[in-house]
Amino acid sequence: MLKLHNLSKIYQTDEVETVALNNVNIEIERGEFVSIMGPSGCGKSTLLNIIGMLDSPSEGHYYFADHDVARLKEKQLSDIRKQNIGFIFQNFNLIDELSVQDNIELALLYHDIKASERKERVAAVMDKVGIAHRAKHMPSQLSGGQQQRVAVARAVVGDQALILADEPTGNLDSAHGQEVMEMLQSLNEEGTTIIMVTHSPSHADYAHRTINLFDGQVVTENVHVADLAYAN
Amino acid sequence: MFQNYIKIALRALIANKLYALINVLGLAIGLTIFLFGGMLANYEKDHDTVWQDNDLIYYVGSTMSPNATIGIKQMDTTYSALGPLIKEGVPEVEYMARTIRREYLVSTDDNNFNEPVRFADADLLRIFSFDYIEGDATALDDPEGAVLTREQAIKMFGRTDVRGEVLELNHEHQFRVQAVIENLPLDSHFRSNMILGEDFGIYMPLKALEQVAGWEANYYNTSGGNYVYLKLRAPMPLAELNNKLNTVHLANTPQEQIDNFMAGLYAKNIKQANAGIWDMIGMPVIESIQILGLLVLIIAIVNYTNLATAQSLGRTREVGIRKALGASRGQLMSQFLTESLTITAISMIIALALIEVIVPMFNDAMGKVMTVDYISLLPTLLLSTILVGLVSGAYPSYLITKTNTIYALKGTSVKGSKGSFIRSMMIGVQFMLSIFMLGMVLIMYFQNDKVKDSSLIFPKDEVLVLREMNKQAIVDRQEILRNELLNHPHISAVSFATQVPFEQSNSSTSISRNEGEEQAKFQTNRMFTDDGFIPTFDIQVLAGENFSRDNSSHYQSDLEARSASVLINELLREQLGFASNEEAIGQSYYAMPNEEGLETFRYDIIGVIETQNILGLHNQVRPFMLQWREFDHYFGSIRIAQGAPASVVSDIETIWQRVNPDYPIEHQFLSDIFDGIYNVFRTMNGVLAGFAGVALTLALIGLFGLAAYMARTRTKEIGIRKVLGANEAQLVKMMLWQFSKPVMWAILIAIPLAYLASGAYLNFFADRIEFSLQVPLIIIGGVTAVALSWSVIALHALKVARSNPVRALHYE
Ligand SMILES: Nc1ncnc2c1ncn2[C@@H]1O[C@H](COP(=O)(O)OP(=O)(O)O)[C@@H](O)[C@H]1O
Ligand SMILES: [Mg+2]
Repeated sequence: MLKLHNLSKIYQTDEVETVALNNVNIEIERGEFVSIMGPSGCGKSTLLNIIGMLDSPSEGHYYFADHDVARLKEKQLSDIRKQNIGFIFQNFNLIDELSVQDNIELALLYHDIKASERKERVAAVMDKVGIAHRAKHMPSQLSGGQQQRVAVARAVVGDQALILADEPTGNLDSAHGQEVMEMLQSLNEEGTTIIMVTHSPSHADYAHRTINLFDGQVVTENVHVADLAYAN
Repeated sequence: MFQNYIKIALRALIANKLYALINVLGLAIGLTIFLFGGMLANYEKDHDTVWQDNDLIYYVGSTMSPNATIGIKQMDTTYSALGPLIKEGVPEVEYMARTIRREYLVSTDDNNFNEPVRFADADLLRIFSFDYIEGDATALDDPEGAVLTREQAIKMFGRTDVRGEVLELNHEHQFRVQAVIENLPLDSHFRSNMILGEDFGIYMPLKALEQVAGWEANYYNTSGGNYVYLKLRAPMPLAELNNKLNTVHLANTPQEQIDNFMAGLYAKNIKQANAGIWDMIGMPVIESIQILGLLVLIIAIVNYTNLATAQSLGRTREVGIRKALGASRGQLMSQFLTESLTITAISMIIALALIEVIVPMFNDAMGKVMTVDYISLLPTLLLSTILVGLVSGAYPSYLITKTNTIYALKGTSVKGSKGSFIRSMMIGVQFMLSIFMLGMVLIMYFQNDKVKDSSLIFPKDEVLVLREMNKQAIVDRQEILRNELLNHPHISAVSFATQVPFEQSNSSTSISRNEGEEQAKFQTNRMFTDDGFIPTFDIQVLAGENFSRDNSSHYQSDLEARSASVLINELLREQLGFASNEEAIGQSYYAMPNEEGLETFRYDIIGVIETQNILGLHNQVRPFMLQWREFDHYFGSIRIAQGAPASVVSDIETIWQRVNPDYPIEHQFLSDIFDGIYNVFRTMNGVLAGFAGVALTLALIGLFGLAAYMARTRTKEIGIRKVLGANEAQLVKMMLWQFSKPVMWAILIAIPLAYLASGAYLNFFADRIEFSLQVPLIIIGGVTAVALSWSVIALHALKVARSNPVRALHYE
């Protein structure tokens, strides 16, 4: 599905030059569930942003499906992004002024979809993540776990094939974290590719394989035994 | 505690320099204009306070009958003849003085001057406590006495100790200077009144005018500035005084005059004399200045409220912490109100500094003596500071302290749609006012342009107007002057007349189509002139012919004949009921005799001219007739051929000198007469444009601040939308739309308002701009405001839409 080749990201600030990613080579297949681990500041978010086309690499190549991402224009990027990629963030990033329902619908607003169909799809996805009874609530009236469920719903309502989750359980207690992980797992079982950054080894275990980053480099990749069947 | 609040307030200001600056400047500008408008209005309305017992001094004005077609509802004068009757009939009146102004050639031993003279009853000096350098208040008791002001004495004699010196009027009548008074105060109607106009330096007894000009017959003249003053013995209710005046009026004025011209009398305190002209023409200029000042202040307050509200949303966390630490809502409100009061106080100080700069400049430019009197201003200053501070701070402090502590601590206040509704409304109000003013400015501008255009119907630059021609010696040599002038190769026509275009005159007479038709009579304006008027002013004769020297019946040499040839304008032709111009030629209409025993007067129409507005372009077009008749014409007009050398004016002066060596020539191009009048309207337009400019600038600054703030607080939301696939264009559109809605509402409300107000203004003009121009102009005002607001918002919207969402999303 996507392939990073000798990819580097260097942040140039006033005084220092930060190498956030250093010569990274990663290939991810359609239907995979990949977790990314590593200490704070090692470049996990940077990697996810580049995969999500929110940021561009300083060097190297990034192929998404058949596209060489570097050659795409802003408009094409934004089109590919909204067709294919859903995002989940540690801090949920819901819009405070919009209700649960409207927050989810937002992800369809920029697609060419009729209002009635939008409503149906939002209702369906709310059922799926179990937030339908809170449809009219504002984000500030929900618990963290509920907010993250809304965020998950928003990430998949457009039938995105790839979900990028940056520490989706980072702000949640273990019970709610567990809930979100199960949701991601079932999405993966339905065919969605998932790339997830996490600090929790037990949550990483939900994935088929884990990529360990250190100082911007891939140090190890371990494939989870339980999922060997898939690897074949 | 309070000190603590002020410290916090100042710190908050310093922390948010841009907002502080916008807030302080906005309020300062609003306050400056508000204060200045108020001061100016007070100054204009509270004139003539220098006189002793000014509360007992009144002048008598008249309300016009609805049948009087002179275009005004009231005037600040009345028949001078009523003066003595009032004195007699109202015992509460201690002194009464009529005044009549005329211009004369005034000569000393060495020099001749054309000077305006105010003839007044002797008691004028007992009504107004003038400041005497020489002589005293009995000066005008001498039937040949005269009073000069200091400036006038110096102008004519070079010194002020001139008591006993002789002045000669028209080389005929001698007067003795009996008193010299200090220059009249600038803040009295003697100097500032627009109708009174000239600066009168010579006062002479009204009795003398009767000898000099045979004035007796003209006591029914009501020219502006010819005040009838009263001084009461003791204060009395105005209504009672008015009643008594009207009793005198009803008992002494013929019913026909009451029905058709002067319906009633009123007294006004002398303080109001200065602003009387605006009451008279019904243009509430002074009130408008006050209202505009208030509107600008409201815009500034709304600005503050808007920005402070937006900004306070960013301080919910601070409020949450304070609440958690035990601050009560009241304490928090006080804190935020202290903040707005501090800002208002700072703004007020800046405003006062601006006032100190503006007032002297304004005085210089306008010949006024406004002063900034802090003692009497103090209550206003304090009150407006407190009021503005509280009003502008009320909403933001209410909103922010209302926030639930928990939400506040989380920093995610429930920014409901209600808050944004009120914000939108405030933007709407600002833009409504700006659009309203902008529309008015445009309309006034185009109307002025129209007036200027319309003025081109007369060859303004090719007509030299002579004034003060009504002196007997000059009238006697009129024909010689005409012939000498016409001999000049570059002079094509010469005319003497009671009037020239653009000079306002309300000389009118009552006529009817058929003889003896009392019921069907109506008013028409009339002027006396000669055969030169039509060619001098390029007036087109549509049917019939101009007066001709070859036809003796065109010229009316005496009133015995009871008939005269006339040229009428098309409007009068229509009102007389003739179907076409051609049909009217050779027909007649009639005027009732104005004295018992006289026969009806018959007018024979020899020509029809265009319905041009000779009365001045700021008046309605009226029916009009020209009559060639011997009269003490005040004006002479000389038509200079196109392309004449500049020396033609000095040639004219030489000719004048030869014909009238004893009199100085008073000349002025017709275009200068026009410009003098036109400038009044241009100045008004300029003032309004200034107000509108300030208002719009404030509204835009406010919008700029708000857009900047909103853009900042919405970066996260924009980031999310971007991640979800929104492109730049969609984002910019969204942000533009959010601010555009209130602006659109503003347009919808402002357009009808501006339409009504501008309609009222346009009605003052004979030749007003078309409806088809009026409405688009207002719309252009609205569109301009929208375009400006869009560019301001787009500036921010683009920046935000272009920014990379990553930071906003991860490091909020
Ligand atoms: N916009 C940026 N500008 C400069 N440095 C950045 C920026 N974003 C991230 N970095 C730096 O790059 C490194 C990797 O950051 P990040 O990918 O966020 O790490 P992680 O998500 O693994 O904690 C860090 O040292 C961080 O400080
Ligand atoms: Mg990170």
